[in-house]
Amino acid sequence: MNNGSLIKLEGITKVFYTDEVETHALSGIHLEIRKGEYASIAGPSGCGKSTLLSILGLLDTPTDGEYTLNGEPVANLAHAERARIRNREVGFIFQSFNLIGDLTVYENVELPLTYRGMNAAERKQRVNDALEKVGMVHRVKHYPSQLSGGQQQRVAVARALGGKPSILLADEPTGNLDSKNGDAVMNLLQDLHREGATICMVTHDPRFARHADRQVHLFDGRIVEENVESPEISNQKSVVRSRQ
Amino acid sequence: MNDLKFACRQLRKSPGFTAVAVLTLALGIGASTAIFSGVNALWLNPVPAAELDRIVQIRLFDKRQNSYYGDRGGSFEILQELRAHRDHFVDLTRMTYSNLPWEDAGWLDRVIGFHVSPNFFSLWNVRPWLGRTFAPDEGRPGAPPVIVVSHAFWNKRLGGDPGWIGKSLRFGDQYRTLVGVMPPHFNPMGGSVLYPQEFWLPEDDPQVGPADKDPEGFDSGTLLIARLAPGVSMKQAQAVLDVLVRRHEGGYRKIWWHPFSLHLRPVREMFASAEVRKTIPGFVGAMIFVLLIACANVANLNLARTEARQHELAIRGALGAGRFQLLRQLLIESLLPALAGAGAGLVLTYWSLGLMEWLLPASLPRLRAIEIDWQVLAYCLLLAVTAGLVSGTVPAWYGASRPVANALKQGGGQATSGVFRNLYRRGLVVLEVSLAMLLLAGAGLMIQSVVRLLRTNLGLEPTNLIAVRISPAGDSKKYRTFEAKTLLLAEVHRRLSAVPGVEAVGILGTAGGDGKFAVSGQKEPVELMWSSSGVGTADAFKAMRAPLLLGRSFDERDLGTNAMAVLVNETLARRCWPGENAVGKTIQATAKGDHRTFEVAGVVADVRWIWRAYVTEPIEPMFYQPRQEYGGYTLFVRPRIKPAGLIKPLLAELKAAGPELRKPAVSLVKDDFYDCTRLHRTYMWCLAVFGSVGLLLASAGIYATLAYSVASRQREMGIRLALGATRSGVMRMVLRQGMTLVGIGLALGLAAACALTRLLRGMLYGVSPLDPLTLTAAALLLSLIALLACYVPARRATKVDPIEALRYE
Repeated sequence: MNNGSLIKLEGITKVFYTDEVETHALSGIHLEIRKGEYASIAGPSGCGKSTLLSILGLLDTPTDGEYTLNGEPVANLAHAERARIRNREVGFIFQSFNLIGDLTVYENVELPLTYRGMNAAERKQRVNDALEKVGMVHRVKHYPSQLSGGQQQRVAVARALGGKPSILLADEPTGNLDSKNGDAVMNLLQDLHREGATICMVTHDPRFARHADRQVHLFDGRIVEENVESPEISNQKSVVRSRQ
Repeated sequence: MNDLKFACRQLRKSPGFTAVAVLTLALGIGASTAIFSGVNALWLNPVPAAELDRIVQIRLFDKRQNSYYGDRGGSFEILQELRAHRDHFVDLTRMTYSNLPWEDAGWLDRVIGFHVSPNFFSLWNVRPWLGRTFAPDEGRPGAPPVIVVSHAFWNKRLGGDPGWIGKSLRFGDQYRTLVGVMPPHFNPMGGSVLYPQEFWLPEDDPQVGPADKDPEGFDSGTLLIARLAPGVSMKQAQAVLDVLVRRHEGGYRKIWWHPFSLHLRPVREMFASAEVRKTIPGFVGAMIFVLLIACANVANLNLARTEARQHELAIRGALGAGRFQLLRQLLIESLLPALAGAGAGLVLTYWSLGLMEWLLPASLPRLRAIEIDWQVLAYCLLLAVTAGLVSGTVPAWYGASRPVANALKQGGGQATSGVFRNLYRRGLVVLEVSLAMLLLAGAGLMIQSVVRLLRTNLGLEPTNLIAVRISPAGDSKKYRTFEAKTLLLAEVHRRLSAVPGVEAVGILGTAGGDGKFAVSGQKEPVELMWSSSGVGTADAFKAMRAPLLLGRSFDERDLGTNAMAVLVNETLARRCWPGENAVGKTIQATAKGDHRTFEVAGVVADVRWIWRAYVTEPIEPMFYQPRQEYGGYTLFVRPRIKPAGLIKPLLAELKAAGPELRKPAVSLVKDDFYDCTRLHRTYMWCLAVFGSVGLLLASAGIYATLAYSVASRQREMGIRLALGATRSGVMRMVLRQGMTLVGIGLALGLAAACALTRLLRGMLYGVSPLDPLTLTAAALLLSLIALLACYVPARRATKVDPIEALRYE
């Protein structure tokens, strides 16, 4: 396992301006996630979890602060460059799965690879590998509507894995699942982590947050607490700070 | 490829959207392609020959009159001279009017055609419908006599039997082998229903007698066409012609149009006549406007669909799709319906080809059929791509530019509010209404024009009036003397007048002329036209019921060589003696050796010569002599009964009176007049169809926009109703919203109409491009239809259940 720094946020703030009202969604976030780390971000509704995840996944840009991904500053990249990095470095797993209903399971998993311009043979190999990993290879021709919630989320995980990203960003991945399917997805993430995947998961469920090596707690856009479950990570002194 | 596959799937998934988009674009693209196919065949590429820009027409220019004399291009000798200049002119071809006798149902008829150089057909690159055209040696003396006939000749006179190819046809005492039949659209010199061009003979045919050649070398009605040698410019070729004219000038001094010169013009201009050119601005405008309305409608649909797919697009963005990739995906999705619409539009075009052929006036010179060729296909494809891009770019840009994080948060399928989107949608409605207003204004003005054209005062009473054209001066030597013709006309008049049901028979000379005359009270000679009328019971004006405005009609005392009484038309009287009594005024001939002085006996109303000039042309000043020795006559028969029952007895009496007469052309004056208005009526129908399509599409656009607005504001409507708004209040609100857009569109459309309808001026008749009545009527019609389009969604808004709407989210 390579334990170098993968993500580094320094003084990240995000302010939304609506009708002359400033809403500070994130204030002075400092966060470092190392390669192979499994981090969870928890907090009450409206604390900025999803905003932080959007910034981490380059879906949104910070108002201020520095964001370094794989040693490269990415906070102020152009739209096209952010899309390119998102496609290659980030795998998303959403609460509502966000599979495209008009595409089959195979095509959903293949989609990010087509944006990458990968040739068909390699795409096929990657899609099959990813679906095999989540146990959905027998459903390649099905449409999302023909699958259960748990199966859909497994396909979403496969889609995130297909591109072999540097980090998996999971936004409440069990939020729309029953407990049994939720446990299955969490176990799947756990397995991926054991195989070396770097995961950052947003959840409000402490039970699932405990699956992570490190739990970061947000409140009112600030990191207020950090718990380290894994001695291995703790020994490497992961840095979690919140500047008041 | 994946984008294409997904786009196909999207279209299949939304059959309603697909059907509406495809049909809308099919109407827009189909209408435009149909018009283009006509414009292409008649104006843009009228000649199917290769290297068209090098094919030129050589025309005689009369320096004295400062005008061209029709299409005349010079003599056989000039042609031979040009043939000697092979370094400048190649593929020279000539066409000269001719006629042949033809026996038809017991009548000796005369068919009109041309002598042409053997390479005439190959120069145009036109293939025969049946058989072949002429071989190069078929024009040489001693070659077997052959003939190529028109499609109409083959159909009407040979029963459309292909077996006639290779057989001999009898023309009087001559026999010619039929070698080919030209296609129906082949009409290089134009023509008319009464005098169609029916055959082509190879020039220098041994049976063409010397009498058919002008001894001075200027054959009548000669058309001269040449292909410029490679590398030769028009200027260089013109210089050669100038030298040629100077060399031959001495030889043509007796010719009445001397001095002359020879001018070149691209042959394309021969077909793109002024009449056709006048119609182009209206057609091009209508094409663009209808297509834009269709695009605006589809753009609206695309925007609604893009909004509904914001979540999906956000997912794609989250997975790494860049703006370009999303834009490409969405554009492919808008291009596919456009291409399908183009396919359906081509079917519409195909169906309309026959209709266009039927609507076209026979007088238009043409070489090509209106058809779907590769140029039309390319145009259709270009329209499809343009329509796809025009209707899809803004919605695609909108869809590809939305912030991904926001769209992901909002979940699937939710329409979000947006100033840009609303402005865009409303802007499209305003654009559609404006364009529909323009189209309706154009259609309205043409309808007004045609109505006024059909109500034109012809100066006679056309209802039931029968015109019988006879030609006693044909091949038969029997009618060549003045006395013989006088006797014939007297006999014809006597017999026709005695037919039961005939009220009056008038005789009008159809072969008149024009020239300059010294008119009393005028310092300079005046250009006047003249013709002749029968006298007494044969008075043409009485039979036509053309009012005598002043003085008297002709009577027997006006006949004879010393009688110099003339009747003048109202235009001549007004122009030469304004405010004065024209009766008693004099008109003196100024031609060499002719010093006759005529005295005005009466003034008759202006009678339009509808079989000679187009009805919209200004009336020329004209006088009529009581003389009857000219070559052609029209007998005007005023019946007491319905004219259909009179045709047979009239023909029988004519046959009895003059067994050697050519077959008379019989028609109803009203039909002749109606036929004259064909170009205007065709134009009117086209603009009316475009206007209707524009109105239909614009009202569909208004309806769709308001319906979408109401559907996406269900909750707002519910809240308003819950807070005490009345249902009529909600309806007024929606109607106000819709009609405000309609009002803005109408205002812009009216302003644009004021600026653009002047482009129709060339085709308008008796109506101003800014005719307030027409513009008001168009605006009212559009408002009414728009109100109906607004009413349906407004009524739906009043049906919203507040409880359901508030629960809905």
